[in-house]
Parts: sequence; structure tokens; C-alpha cells
Amino acid sequence: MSLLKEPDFGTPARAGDAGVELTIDGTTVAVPPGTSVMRAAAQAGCEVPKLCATDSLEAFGSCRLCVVEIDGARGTPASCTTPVAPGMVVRTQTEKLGRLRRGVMELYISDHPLDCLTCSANGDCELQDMAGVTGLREVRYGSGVDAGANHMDLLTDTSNPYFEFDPAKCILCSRCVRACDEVQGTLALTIEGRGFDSKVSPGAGGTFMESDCVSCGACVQACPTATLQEKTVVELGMPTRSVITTCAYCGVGCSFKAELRGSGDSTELVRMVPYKDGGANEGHSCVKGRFAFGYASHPDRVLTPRVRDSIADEWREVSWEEAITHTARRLRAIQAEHGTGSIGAITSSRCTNEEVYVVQKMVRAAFGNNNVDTCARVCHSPTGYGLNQTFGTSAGTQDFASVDDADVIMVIGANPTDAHPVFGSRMKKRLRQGARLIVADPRSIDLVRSPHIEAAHHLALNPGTNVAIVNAMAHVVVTEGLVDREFVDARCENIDEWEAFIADPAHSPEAVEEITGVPAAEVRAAARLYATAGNAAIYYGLGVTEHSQGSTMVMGMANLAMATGNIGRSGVGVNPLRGQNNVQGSCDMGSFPHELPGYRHVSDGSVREVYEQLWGTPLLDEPGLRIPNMFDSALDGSFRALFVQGEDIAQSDPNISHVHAALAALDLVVVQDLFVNETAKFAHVLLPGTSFLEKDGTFTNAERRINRVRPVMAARTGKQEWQIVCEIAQAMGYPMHYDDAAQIMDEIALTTPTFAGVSFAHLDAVGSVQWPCTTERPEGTPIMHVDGFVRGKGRFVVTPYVPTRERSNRRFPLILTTGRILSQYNVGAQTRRTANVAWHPEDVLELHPHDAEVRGVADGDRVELASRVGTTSLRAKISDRMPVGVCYTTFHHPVSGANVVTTDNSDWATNCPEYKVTAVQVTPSTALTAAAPAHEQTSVGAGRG
Amino acid sequence: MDELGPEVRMVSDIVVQFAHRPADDAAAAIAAHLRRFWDPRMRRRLVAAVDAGADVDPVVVRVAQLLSSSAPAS
Ligand code: SF4
Ligand code: SF4
Ligand code: SF4
Ligand code: FES
Repeated sequence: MSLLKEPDFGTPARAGDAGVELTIDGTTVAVPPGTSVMRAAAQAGCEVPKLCATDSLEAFGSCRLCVVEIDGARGTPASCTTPVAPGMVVRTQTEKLGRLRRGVMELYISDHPLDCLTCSANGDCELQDMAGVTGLREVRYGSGVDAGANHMDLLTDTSNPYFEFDPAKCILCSRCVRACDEVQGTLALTIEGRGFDSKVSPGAGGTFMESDCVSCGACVQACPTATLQEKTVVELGMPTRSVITTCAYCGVGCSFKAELRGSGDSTELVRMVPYKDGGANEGHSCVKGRFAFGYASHPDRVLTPRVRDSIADEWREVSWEEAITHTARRLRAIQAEHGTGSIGAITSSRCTNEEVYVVQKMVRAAFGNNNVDTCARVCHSPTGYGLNQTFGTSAGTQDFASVDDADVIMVIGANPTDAHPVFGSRMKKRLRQGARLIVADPRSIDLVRSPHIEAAHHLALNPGTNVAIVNAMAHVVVTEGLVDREFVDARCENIDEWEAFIADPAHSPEAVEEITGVPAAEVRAAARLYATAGNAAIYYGLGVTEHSQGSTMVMGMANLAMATGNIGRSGVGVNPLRGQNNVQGSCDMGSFPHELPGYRHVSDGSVREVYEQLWGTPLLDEPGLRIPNMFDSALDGSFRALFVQGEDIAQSDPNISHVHAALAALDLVVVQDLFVNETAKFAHVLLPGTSFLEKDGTFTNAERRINRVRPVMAARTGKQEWQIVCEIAQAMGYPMHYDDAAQIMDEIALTTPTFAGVSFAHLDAVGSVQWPCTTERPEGTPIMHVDGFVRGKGRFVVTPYVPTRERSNRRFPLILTTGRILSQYNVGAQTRRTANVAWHPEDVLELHPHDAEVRGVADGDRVELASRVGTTSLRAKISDRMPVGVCYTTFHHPVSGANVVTTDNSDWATNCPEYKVTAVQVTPSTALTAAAPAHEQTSVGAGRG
Repeated sequence: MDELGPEVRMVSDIVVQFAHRPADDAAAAIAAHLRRFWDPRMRRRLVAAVDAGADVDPVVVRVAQLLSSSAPAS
């Protein structure tokens, strides 16, 4: 495959019918109203030269290279800023136009270093291209450094770890500034100064790293010259070929062109460029997917299998054959001694659908039990439960594009600008266009107030009171006559019971004000806005699910959306923002102990029969153990062996001391991962995994979009992960074989009705599809529940508010809540091995100035954070984004061990841990105390407060 | 409560979520939930804890009765 250069139509497409007909250079073309002459010309096959225009940005009209002649119009208008009109007759190539364009180019070139042959952008520079296109042969004003006053001695800004800014090459087209404004929405860049002195400036004249820049790369991509350039291109040279693939970080699932040099073993990944045709990202990216891929070639990667008898022993490197036979033999021996149900597996949301599918198949068919769970247990399992109970399917209702039609956006317990940045940018764009915003979050997240965006209502609720808030909003809807009767009567059930429950004055905003901490008037106003302002859409994250009432809250939001008729069309819906890249997919693939692929309960005989026939073995009809139950059962001795696929449960799961004790109690822990992670410290077998650059398969993003992951290089370990799993199953005596990953998807399609139309060939042909994708609907389903709910009628569920058992008291007076930040990803195993650490070298504890002051804590001080279960040490960051009484940290670095303090309270329905509410105390500390569980606490922290 | 085992803690968390329903109703719904989502060994451990006289909500006792009286989920 050669280097893929996507066509650039110069200005964005306009919606609507192609109703305007015009003639360009003798060719007739029809385009929607509002289209620019430049875009229409490109569609007619007449490329107009351009420099300041690119189709990801609105036209600006500054370079005047795109001039055209239009019959009846005066002068030579810029085609990028001139809209089409019916019957227009346009000429793009005349002698006069050629002269004008050469004049423009002459001026540009006279202030540009003419070092094309040694410039990093050689071959990928629009200025160079345009000099060629316009036929520039001489520069009358002198050129390069000989041209009198110029900008050529300006210094290069190399402060950003991933790209550099060489102002000497800048042509002031302002594409970077507009990309930062329009696409990313960060507004970090300006054009500073006037006339000859104007220059692009990050922030107030400082460097990129000192500015608000979040390193999304949009400006680098928009820059037509080498002014903003990836450092890898400077170092390695221009890539020569591309492979389209999918980001392996978050649930947005951005498509990228992996741009490469060399072939075979000498393949080098030069850069990742967001792919314009990517359904989820439409050409945008964030710092993680765009730049943080260096971990894949990090020297810490484990490439050879390792085995040891006890976790006190040193690792022994062994052959694949030995590792696989050893694993299979041990698993069978443990089953022989302790029973079929004594072993199990955890699948990973970072792995492909195909890799996850084979692990759950190994458990059900080869292990002969249902002890398979996935890391979604600790993030979005309440989404599965809640949306299934109310709507009948365990997935978000919309595609990302739907937000473009939303009039009110309610963000609950999510921080999209940090955790789902590319979708966050899209949401911000809609908000800048005027959609209203409601934020329900204890913290004042960036969205609450950012350039040109201000939340209409910020419901700064006390952690753990989500259900009280959503019930209060629903109470307002019901008691103020705001229910969409037509929708509810036609499409829902159980409304009477629910209305009677929710109308109880005990749920009124006034009655719960003391519990939630949110003024009743604010809740009333937010509810009215949500119910009456047109299309209202809910977006939520782990701040909803990771609570003792996570599932209840998901149902509460579904109730609110149904009551107001905000389901089943573009612009509305209930949308989980998934954490890891393949959370949706790993759940779809039957990773839960009670569900076969496609969310079908193991007790359903007709579904079991499908698999029993195909797999040739009887399947168990009882649910298996969930992750926390595996730990509990490890401690009581009934669970003895665990296969862990690409997850670091020893760092990411709550109440770490409990998890460590459970892992240590197991007879066999098999870890399949890229690195020796924290969990591997408890492992007896380490099976090296593949990075996303080596995988062949699919990921499914938060909008149910199935994207292809294509290998850009051979597996550095010599084996695909699904192959290893199949070989273990084989060695255990269960025949399991596929020739390639495409065959696994074929089996998924054959057995799972919602995937019936999916195959690698289909995805390669159409790009991506959103499930349900059936043979009747091969194009997939962007929006769900359009004509009816998946379960028939949408079901209102009564959702009483029950406070968490975790309470603050005199000893632990603060509430700790946890989250994530833009530059790091989850437990950080990947991002910590990239230059992203420049933005987040350590986890910090954010707390309110008042809480800091009464404890004598100053910004940057080391503090000790203690909960009922453990103590750890972090650096304090004083922040008025926090409400009084609440503090916040992330969990990206093992040394800080935020999960040392989190408890094993969990969602009542799914056991999803309550990461978001832990009663804690914060005290100043001087020494760096290592993270320690409560029973190991030294006198430093114990007993204070 | 954890000395009684994690199952007793978890079922107690569930019981409070069903407190708005009449006790028998709640017990039936909870027993159905446990059959759908709990590994049989967890249900057995719960029943054993109740049989051993754990000090639990009467609804939990009723749930345990339902779980031991009926056949496993199907
Ligand atoms: S990298 Fe992104 S945030 Fe930074 S200046 Fe460029 S467009 Fe703006
Ligand atoms: S840095 Fe690049 S995009 Fe920005 S004004 Fe200069 S040439 Fe244009
Ligand atoms: S938004 Fe998510 S999927 Fe997109 S590039 Fe960033 S981390 Fe990757
Ligand atoms: S491309 Fe139209 S004015 Fe620059």
C-alpha cells in the first residue's frame, strides 16, 4: 500500500440536496447550497490552487491563490470564500489567473528558506506543490535569505515532545490557529502582531509547552508547510506507505493512517495521522492516539514466554511450546484436584473482539465453566445491566455525530475533554454553536467554563448522590406536566408505577437539597431545560457507573430520557462514554460470566444449543464468578487458577491489599501482557502479548462502531494472542483452531444475530459499521430504538435513592473521588512509557483551598492520603475546581497506588466497584511513604484525624 | 459484616435497594437476581451463612429459603 493522501476539497461539505447547478471550466456540476466555488470545482475535477484553505476548516480567504473568474462578477474573487449560485459560470485556469497566482507565490517564496531538498516536509509541502502548480520560475524580489528583511532567523520551538514549530517556514495562512479553534476547540494559538511582524504564537508569546496546547496535533496536520512538523518525520524522514487502523487507547475509537517506512523486519512507524474517513473521528485525534505509540517498541516489552514455579522464584525464559503445554497441564491438574469450577479467566478491553471471543470460548468450552469476566466489570458493567433492563440492549443509543443535532447536552460523571478528547472536541463544537449544557459533577470539569462555552447549569452534587439528583429532575418533569405523553403512551410500559413513585414529594429537589448539596432551584431549572429545549442528549461516564448505585443511576437516566421522549432519533439518547478502546466489544463478545456473546443469558437453552452444536461440547447453564467473586473465592480456596488477558488487576482494581492477597493465594496465575505489570508479579506464567500495531482484528467503540485493526508489522512475539489461547485450549484437549482472525469474526457473525452481517471483507469494503449489522441491514444501525425498543416497550424502573455505606466521619472527613486525565491512559502501562509523562509525571491529589488550609497543606506539598483500608502518599494540588470536602486523584502511576485506599464496596447489581466515593483523611507528610494497606500502616498516618 | 462472608455483605446491599417493595416481593426479585448473576457456589455460601444463624435482615432469610427450595436457574 502506498502513502495515502486523502483528497482535500478546500472547504467543508454542506448538508442538503445537490440543488445548485453551475458550470466550471465547461463542466456542469451540482452541489448543495452554501458550498464554495472551490469545493464545487474540486468535485468537477478542476483543482484550484490554494494555501490557506483545507476542508477541515471554514474558509478564511487570506492567501488569494485560489482566485477565479466568474461571469458577471467584478474582479477575481477567492473561490474558497465565494459560495456557489445557480447558473454560475466559472473559469479556474486563464492566463490572467496564472499571472496573479504566480505573483502571490513569488511573495511567499521570497520570505521562505529555499532548502526544499533538505527540508523534512520535502514531498509533503503544499507551498512546494503550489510553486509547481502555478509554474513559478523566478522570484523578482530575491529569495530565501537574500530577500532583504525576512523571518528566516526565527528560532525553532522544540518544547513539545512530539512536534516542533519552525516559524522561519511559516506562511501565516492561519490554518493552525483555525484548527486549534474550530477542530480542537482549545484556542491555544493566535496570530500576534500586525503586518510584517505578525507571527503565530502559542498563548502569550511563550512556547507550546507553556501554552494551553493539549498536543492534539490538529495544527500540525493542518499546516501546509514544515513549520509545524512531527519530530519523528524530522528524525526518520517522510513515510512511504500507510495502513488504516484504529487507536488502541480510548472508547472513541479513532481511525488513523499508520504511516510507515521500510518493509518486513525493518518497518518503522513514522507517524499516526488521523484518518478523514474515520467514522468516529472524521480526521481528528488526541495526544494519545496521535503521538503516544512509542510504548510498542519500548525495551520493557516482554517478547519471550516466561515460567516459574513460585512467585518467589526468578523467571525462566522458555519456548512457546513449553509455556503452552505447561499452562495447559497445570490448569487441568488444578481442575482434577479442585473441580471444574476452580479455574477461570479475565478478558481485556484492550484486546480485539476476536482475541476476547476466543478467551471466553476457551473458558466455556475447554475449561467447561462460565468463570469468565472482563475488566468492564470495574467500569461499565452497570451500563449493561441498566440499559438492558430499560431499553433491552446493553449499549449506547446514538452515534457520535448525533451530538451535532442536540439542543441540550447533559454530561453526567464524565469528563470528555480529558477522557474522550476527540468526542469532547465535537461536543464543544456543538456547544459553541449554541447548544445548552448541563453538567452534573462534583468537580468543575473543563467543560463547565472554557473558551466560548459556559454550562447553563453546573449541578455540583456530593459524590454518591447521583440517583437523588436524577430522581429530583424526573420529579420536576412529572409534577410540572413535562412528560411526553405521546411517546410514553405509545412506546413505554410501567409508567404508572414509576410516576406514582417519582411524584412523591420525598423526591423533590427541595427535599433532597441537603443530600445532594445542589440548590433546588438549580435542579428545577436544569430539569425544565432538559425537558423542553428540543433534542436533549445524556452523555455519561464512570462517575455514573462506579458507585454502589451505578446500575440504579443508569436506569434513572433511561427513565428521564423516556419520560421526555428523548430516545430514538438524532440529537437525543443515553450515551455511555466508554473508558478503554474495546469495552463495548469485550462486553459484546460474551465476556460476562452470565452471558454468551450478544448478551444472551447462559440459562437460555436455545442459545446454548447454537454454541453446543458448533463447539461440540455441552455448556453450563449457570452463571460463573465475576472478578470480585473470583478474588473472594480465591481466598476461600474454591478458586485456584486465573488466566489474565492484558489487564493489570493488581493495580486497577479497588482495595488492592485484598486483590494482592487473593492473587497470592492462587496456585496458578497466567498473565498475557506487553509488560511485566503489577499483576505479573503474582504470575507463574507470562505470555508476551502483541501491541495494536501487530494485531489483526476489530475494536468496537462507544457508539457500537466496529473498526478494523490492521497489523502494520508482524507480531514481535512470533504469535498472535488468539493463537496462543487456541493452543492452550488444544493442549487441554479441546480442539480449537482458526487459520486467521477473519475466521473468528465469521464464527461470531454466524452465532450472534446482531453481528450477522459483519465480516472483515465487509468492513474492508465499507470502512466501519455500527451493530446491529445484519444481512438485512448491512450498513449497520447508527441510532437505536428508532421505531421501537429492542425489548419491545421501553420499561420504566423504580429507582429509589439509597446512600452508600461509605460515609465520611470525624476520622475520615473528606470524600475522595477518582478519574483520569488527557495525556495518560488507565493504569498508564502504555502512556507512562511515552513522552506523555511530560504532562503528568505523577498522580496528584486535588483538593479545595479551604480543605488544604485547615490541614496546613500548600500547593505541591506531599500529603498522606488515608482511608479505612489503606494509606498512600501523593503530591497535593490546590484547586478551586474541587468543592469543599471532596478531593480527587487519578490512578495512572503504580507508585502512588490510589487503589490502595479505595474500598471493596460495589454496585449492588453488578459488583462494579465504588471507585468514586471513599472517605479519607489528608495530612501533610514529609517522607514519601510507599503505598500500604491499612494493616501495614506505620504510625505515620494511622490514628490521625 | 464481612466476617459473615462477602455474600452476606453483597446480598445486604441488594436488600436495601428493594426496600420499597413488600418483603415477599422483594425476596422473590432478589432470589431471581441471584440465580441470574451469582455463581452457584456463592448462593450456597449465602444459604450456609443464613443456616448457620447469621444475623441478617428477614428478607435475606426469605431469599435463602427461596434459593434452597428451588432448583438451580434455568
Ligand atoms: S496541538 Fe492541538 S491544542 Fe495544541 S496548538 Fe495545535 S491544535 Fe491547538
Ligand atoms: S504554522 Fe503552518 S499552519 Fe500555521 S500559519 Fe504558519 S504555515 Fe500556516
Ligand atoms: S480520542 Fe481516544 S481513540 Fe481518539 S486518538 Fe484519542 S485516545 Fe485514541
Ligand atoms: S485558498 Fe482561498 S484565499 Fe487562500
